[in-house]
Amino acid sequence: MLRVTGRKVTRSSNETAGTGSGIELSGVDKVYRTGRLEYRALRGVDLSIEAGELVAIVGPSGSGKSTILNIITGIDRPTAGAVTVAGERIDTMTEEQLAAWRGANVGIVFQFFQLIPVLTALENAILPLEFNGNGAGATAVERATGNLQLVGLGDRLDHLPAELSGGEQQRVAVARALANQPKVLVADEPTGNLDSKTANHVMELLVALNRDGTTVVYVTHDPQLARFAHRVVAVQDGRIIDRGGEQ
Amino acid sequence: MSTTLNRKALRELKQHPLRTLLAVITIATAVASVWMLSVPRTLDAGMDNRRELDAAHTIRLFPDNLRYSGEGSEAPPAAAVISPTELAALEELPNVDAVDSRPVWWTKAQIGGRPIDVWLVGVEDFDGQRVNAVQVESGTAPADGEAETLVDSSSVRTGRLASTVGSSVELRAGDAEFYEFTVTGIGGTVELNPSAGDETPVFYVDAEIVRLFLAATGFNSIEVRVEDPAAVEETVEAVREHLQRVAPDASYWRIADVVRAGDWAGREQLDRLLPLIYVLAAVATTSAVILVATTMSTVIRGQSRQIGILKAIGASRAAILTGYLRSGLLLGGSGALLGTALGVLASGTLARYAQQQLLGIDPVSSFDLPVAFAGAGLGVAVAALAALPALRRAMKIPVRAALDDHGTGGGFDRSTVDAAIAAAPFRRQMTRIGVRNVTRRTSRSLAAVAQIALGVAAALAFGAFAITGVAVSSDTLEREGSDITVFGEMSLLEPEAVADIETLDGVAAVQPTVDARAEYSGGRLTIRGLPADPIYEPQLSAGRWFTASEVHHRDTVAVIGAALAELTGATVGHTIEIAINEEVREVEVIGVDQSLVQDGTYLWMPLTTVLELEGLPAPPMYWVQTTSSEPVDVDRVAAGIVDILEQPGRPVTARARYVELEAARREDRVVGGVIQMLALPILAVGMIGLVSAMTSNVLERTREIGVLRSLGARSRHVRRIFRAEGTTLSIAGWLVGIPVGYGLAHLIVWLFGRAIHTSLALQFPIWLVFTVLLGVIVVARAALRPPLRRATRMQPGMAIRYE
Ligand SMILES: Nc1ncnc2c1ncn2[C@@H]1O[C@H](COP(=O)(O)OP(=O)(O)O)[C@@H](O)[C@H]1O
Ligand SMILES: [Mg+2]
Repeated sequence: MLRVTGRKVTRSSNETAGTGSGIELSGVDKVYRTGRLEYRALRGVDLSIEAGELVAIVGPSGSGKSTILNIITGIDRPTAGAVTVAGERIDTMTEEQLAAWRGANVGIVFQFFQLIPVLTALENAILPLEFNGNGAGATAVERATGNLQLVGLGDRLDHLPAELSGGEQQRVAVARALANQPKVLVADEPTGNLDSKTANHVMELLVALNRDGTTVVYVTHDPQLARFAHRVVAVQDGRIIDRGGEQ
Repeated sequence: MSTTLNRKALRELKQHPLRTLLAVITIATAVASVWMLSVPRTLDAGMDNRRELDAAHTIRLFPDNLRYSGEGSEAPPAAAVISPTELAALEELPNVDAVDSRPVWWTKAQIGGRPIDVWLVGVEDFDGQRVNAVQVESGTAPADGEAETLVDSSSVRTGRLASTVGSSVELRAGDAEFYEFTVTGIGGTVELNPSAGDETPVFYVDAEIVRLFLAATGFNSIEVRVEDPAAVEETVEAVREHLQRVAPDASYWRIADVVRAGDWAGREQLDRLLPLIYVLAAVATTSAVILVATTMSTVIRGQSRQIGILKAIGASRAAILTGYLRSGLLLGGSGALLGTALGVLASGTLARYAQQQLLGIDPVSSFDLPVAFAGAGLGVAVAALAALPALRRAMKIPVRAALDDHGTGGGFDRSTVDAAIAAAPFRRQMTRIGVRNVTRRTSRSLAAVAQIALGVAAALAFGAFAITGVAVSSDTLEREGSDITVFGEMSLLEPEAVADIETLDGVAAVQPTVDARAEYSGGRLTIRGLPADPIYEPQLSAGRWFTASEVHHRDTVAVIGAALAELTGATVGHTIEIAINEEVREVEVIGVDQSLVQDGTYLWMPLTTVLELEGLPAPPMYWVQTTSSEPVDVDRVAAGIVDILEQPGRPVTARARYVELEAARREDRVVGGVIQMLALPILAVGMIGLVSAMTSNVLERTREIGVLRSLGARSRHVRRIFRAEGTTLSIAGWLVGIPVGYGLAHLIVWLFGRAIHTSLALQFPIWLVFTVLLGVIVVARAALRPPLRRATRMQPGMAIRYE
């Protein structure tokens, strides 16, 4: 069955390359090495996500969900296999190329928000623009402000992360992820540290973004939240056990 | 539990090798800086060792015991008053270990076509020397009865002689003829080498050859070595009594110089540097201690979450404390080991350099046990204790808050500083992040600033000290004014004879002068007699120079050197009592001279007055100023002066001052070099502080770098952030360091001035201040490179999970 899927993925890889915002993982292995120890976090993962999809990845803790997301965004490298995201083979890029590519194509929302504590909400939201050389001038401020208004924080522009609640911080992180109008938005347990009401709010935000055309992939272990997705991919022991009716 | 904690301590150190290495190096620097204290002790040991090797004298007497045959006479000279057997009998006296004697003669050597003054020191038997044994450092000793000589190594080292083994040198005999000698070797003996003030080069020759040269018998130097230096006074008495008894007719031109235990030629100069060494060691150690404390608290702060976890699972305070104390001891122990090795190496190198270049002895190295214990103890104690404040703080953090510390947002609150930074118009966000990061970790930033400030202060203080020293020393040398000093037998220097010198081609001015030795309540001093309009340029800080009328009336007025003024407490209008030839005179002080000629211990008086006090009919010395100060021209004029004045058998000396100047400058350079080497540990601590601050900044924010990279930051963006941070810290440290350095420079110059009983005007040029800034920024940037390269190469995914 895996072999068949493999062939199928290879074929569809060419199709998504054309559309420009699809995701293709084929035969991806990830082995972590710490000293003498080796841990195989992913074993032959094949995954295909079409442009414009809203996909949830679920699975027990330690099953490899975060690792899959990290490989999609290129912040981790596969030990084996090919990764094509937004039309480009990213597993062969250098760190520097990856950083530039991410800046242009991917937005990331982390579980622990990971805002830059010394920057205000607005400054955090402008940061990715600056990395792409669009940080200066009124348009940058306008765009970042727009994104913050979109997440409902139009009145918190000058607040430092420490002055915001967890939900607000995560919404800033979403606004930040949107800075460069990414084709792909990836979120790793974006609501893991939020109460259910706030969590729903953040999820609605992601759904809205997806409705506007952004490919969204998120990890969650909450079945309630997985329901927002078009498709739920289940992971266990580094393998995909259910691809939720992949075409 | 305890063994698990043990394992945890060790594993943590291994888990963060870079941070551990940094902490160990820091502690090692602190330990190594303590080793500076061993340098003076090693120099002492070196000299003691050399004095032991040379069997250096404790007592030296100068009898008039050379008997010459009359001028032009073929008859053998009369027997010396003190015979060799009478001398040998001295060895029978209690406490006398060994006795030796030698003929010593002041003459000229023809070197490079120029006659220069030299000492000929006779050695009775090179293979059987008993006291002040001349050591052969290279080549061989002269053979008995041969026209061969051993050249004094310190004269060669200071550049006063350029002889090499196998070359030849012409030495002038009693008949005024020059005879060729072969240089068989280079060597000497510490107590007879010229470093003790009189810098005339020395040639060691077979004693029989000296006597043959002079057509004389006997000796004029008696050197006695005692067994117990503590009882030297009684021995001096016994020696005098013995000589008085066996040779009642003998006269002495100087009787019994005594070398005290632990004293040696040049000791005084070293003692002057001691306060400096102590200050340096104190500053280096203090700044290293600050650095160790900062490092330890950084290590612990990085673990507040871990401590929270430990507390959450029920670890007691004591258990946690012991665990971290163990890490501290482990770090301290390794640092102490490395530091001791470093300290031994650095202090040994410095001591070796000073021994070879300043003292001219074979370097001796000694392992200074007290310093070793002090250094290692300091390292271990500081590392363990330095962890405590940070630990105490970490323990106070509520478990919940510590567990939540994921570096997600907390830790930065608005402050006034931050408000100012927020308002500042930084063109780039990266710069803003960098500068704000400085205010984010306030205590670490403050510590980094303190470290940089100390380094800056040290660089400024020692730079300024060196500049001041060079300025003062060259100013002093310039002030002396004359190019050639002429002296010789009085009759040759009668004013009428000297008048001819003025007509010599290349002579600009000729001025009579006289030096007289005198004593005052505080010790010996030199009086220099000069006219009302001297070639010498005094630098009067008070009063005036003497007038023509005072010179005419032979008034007992004087301008005194600044050091003398300080030592006697006398100033303009006071009188001081001085004894010249056992007669006490009251001298009125009319001026104070700030210049450092003779270290500021001179007393300047009208020439006429000094001649009268000394009972001299004519000036015994002349200063000649030449129109050109090129060595060739000065040499030519000097040779011309000797040609005009000298008569057979009655030598005249024309000493070119540029030779002395070169030697003096060389010595300045060596002393300056030693001081700069002593300052090095402080600079090193400052640099390590800077490097460690930068490195831990980067390491501690590995996760943040990962986040930035995830958001699309290129490595240049990351670099810009940390550069802004480094530059901010550097500039802040520099700003703080300027006043500290200025104060430290004053302290050092004051300490040095106090040692030589004078005050020096500190030079603190603005270019030095900016050069240091440039240096700090360059080092900060260089220090950032390795950790940044590592951080930007790390996969962001790993970086985000990094702890
Ligand atoms: N840096 C690492 N070194 C070693 N093992 C790791 C590392 N990162 C993750 N792992 C392991 O890989 C597995 C998958 O991790 P992850 O993708 O984070 O799981 P999930 O997000 O599903 O909880 C886990 O068992 C984890 O222990
Ligand atoms: Mg995860």
